[in-house]
Amino acid sequence: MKKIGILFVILTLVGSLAVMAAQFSIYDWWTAGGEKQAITAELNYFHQLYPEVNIVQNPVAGGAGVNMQAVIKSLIFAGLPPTTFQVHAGWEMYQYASAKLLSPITDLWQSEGWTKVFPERIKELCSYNGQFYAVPMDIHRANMLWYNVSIFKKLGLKMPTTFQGLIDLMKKIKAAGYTPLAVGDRNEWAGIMVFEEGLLSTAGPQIYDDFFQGKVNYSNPKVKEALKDFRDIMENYLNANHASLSWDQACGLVANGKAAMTIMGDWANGYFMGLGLKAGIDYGAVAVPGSQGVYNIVIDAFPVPKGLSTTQRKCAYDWLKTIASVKGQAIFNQIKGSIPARIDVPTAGFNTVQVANMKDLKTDILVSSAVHGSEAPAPFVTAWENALTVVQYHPGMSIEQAVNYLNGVNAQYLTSEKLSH
Amino acid sequence: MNKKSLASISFVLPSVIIVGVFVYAFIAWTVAVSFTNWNTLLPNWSFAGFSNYTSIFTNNLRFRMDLINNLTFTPFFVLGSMILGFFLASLLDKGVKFESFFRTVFLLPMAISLVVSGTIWVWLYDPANGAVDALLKLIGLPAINWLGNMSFALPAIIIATIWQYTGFTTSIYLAGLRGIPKEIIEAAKLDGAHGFRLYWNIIIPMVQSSTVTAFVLMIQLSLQMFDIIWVMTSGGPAFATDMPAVYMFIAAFKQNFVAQGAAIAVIIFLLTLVVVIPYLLTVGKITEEES
Repeated sequence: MKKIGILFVILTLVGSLAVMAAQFSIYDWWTAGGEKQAITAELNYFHQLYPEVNIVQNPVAGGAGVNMQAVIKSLIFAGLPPTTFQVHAGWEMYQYASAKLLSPITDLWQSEGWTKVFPERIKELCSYNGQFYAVPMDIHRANMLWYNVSIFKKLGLKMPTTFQGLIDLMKKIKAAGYTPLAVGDRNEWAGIMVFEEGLLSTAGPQIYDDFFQGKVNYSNPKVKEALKDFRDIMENYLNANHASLSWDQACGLVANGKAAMTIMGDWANGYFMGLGLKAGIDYGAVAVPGSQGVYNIVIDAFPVPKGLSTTQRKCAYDWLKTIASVKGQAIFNQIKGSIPARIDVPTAGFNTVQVANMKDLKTDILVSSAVHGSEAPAPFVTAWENALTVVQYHPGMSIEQAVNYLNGVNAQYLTSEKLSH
Repeated sequence: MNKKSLASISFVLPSVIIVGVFVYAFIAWTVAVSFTNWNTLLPNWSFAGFSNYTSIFTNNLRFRMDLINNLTFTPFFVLGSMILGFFLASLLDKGVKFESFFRTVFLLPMAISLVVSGTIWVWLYDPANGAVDALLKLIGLPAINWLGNMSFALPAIIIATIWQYTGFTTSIYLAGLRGIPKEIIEAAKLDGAHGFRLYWNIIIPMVQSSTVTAFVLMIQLSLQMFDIIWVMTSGGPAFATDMPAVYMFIAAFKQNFVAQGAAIAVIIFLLTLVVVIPYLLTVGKITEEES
């Protein structure tokens, strides 16, 4: 009797391992309002199409994915890759591709005809050494300014067209007794976006790209100006509790009328929609003044790790086909606040901010976000963010001292050797 | 070898193997990694000498700040939680009414995950809606931007961690106080020792082994402090609350500097050893004396 019991336990364990192997295990960092609903809707659609697949979703909280990436890296080190995981296309994906941890999926891109429906720059960011490694699920725009429409109406404010104009506007809003700019930089990156988008607006896309390729540094007059503006904004125009808030809590300050504006990617759109607010009526959005005509993209994509079983690999392919389809892109992005990466998705069902962005994507100059891991390698991004934060919190440091210190950090990390991939 | 010793070896062996693999082998592995060039996503086992250690100490503003923060944090955290723990344990030992209720109340914070209590403290410290600033306002003091201010962030974390761990030191001291024979206290009282003198000359020396245990455990916790800091400030603002363990996590998992992360881990380990080895020696001595 006892032996049968032991045998039963062993069989159950083996059986559960077999079930685990057939599972579709997906990791993402979509846990805030809006984004959580979006991934749930997409997974429901996937379940409709492939009801036999057992979906195991593993969301890891922490905006911009810092915590989830730690989990993924330890799973990969342990030789237990998930079926697929969220990754930002560009440098963040290159690190996995160059380490040969991902399977090339060029065959899938070709057989599904995806090469014809995604924009050129996005295809570049999803490929590495001539092979495709990931499929984009959405395109986010990082250089966006969100504002509370009723505060703007009440104070009779007009949206400026330059970054300097935006700072003048902040001055006015502060004088009227409102917090000009809401930021939630408990995890640093949201504050660094103020510098990144300011740099793009002040210096333009060419200098922006050059900066992250190590061709120019903070001594460039435009970059220096962006640095001065960044320190000015962070010191004078933020909500006092910025260091203890997350990005969505900062958007909450704009939503409830405590702050007039926030600089955030268009995942904020999903957050506002999730609160039941209407674009154009309750909240408005424009490209950060000075960066009109430039689209700073952040792409959430999904790769296929190496080392999957045949069943798991099929699951991963089915998931990629789902998210790349016209319907799959529409379902996810309408809720998420972002726009489809495909250019042939109809605009019906998207809100005004999204429709404007879908139009812009076709005509704008495309650059990619460093804060979100697409534009520069991870070791640099962390060091760069850390250094800017140090400068931000030491107002006593003169601008020359700050430039010297920051240039040193860039020189250490943005060498041609470290930028080759 | 007789049957008896064979049996005792077979009882001890499994735990020796498990501890050997999961503690000592991993320590050895971390030390080995810290001497390699594994500063990429994939392992690179080529020998790097001490370069990971030198790069941490030279030209690295962050690690220096981390050490200063940790050395500032440690005395406040360790003494704070020990003094408060001793005080609460003494009150409980007096035989207050509802003792078990209060014991649970004091011990409860320890049972809460640091991630949960960190989140609660973030809410409490919020300068717009938090309870702490509301209290300050009530007594006419200006509100403080606790976690967003470089001077207040570390004290704020010290308060939160003392709150979390005082229950632990309370339980250690309560066990120590309960272990003092009643006759000794009675005899001391007959000899005229009361109040402060009773504590200073009799009780505090009698709970010395509790003090040593609490001290070492608290220091070791302090040197490895990570979870609550990660949740409350992630080391910010501008590294005002950054600690070696936070930097280790960032280096290894965000920047892919695995060997450098391992080197930081080894440094934390050595710092801990500095405290633990004298502890093991004293404990040995105390037990010898007692026997």
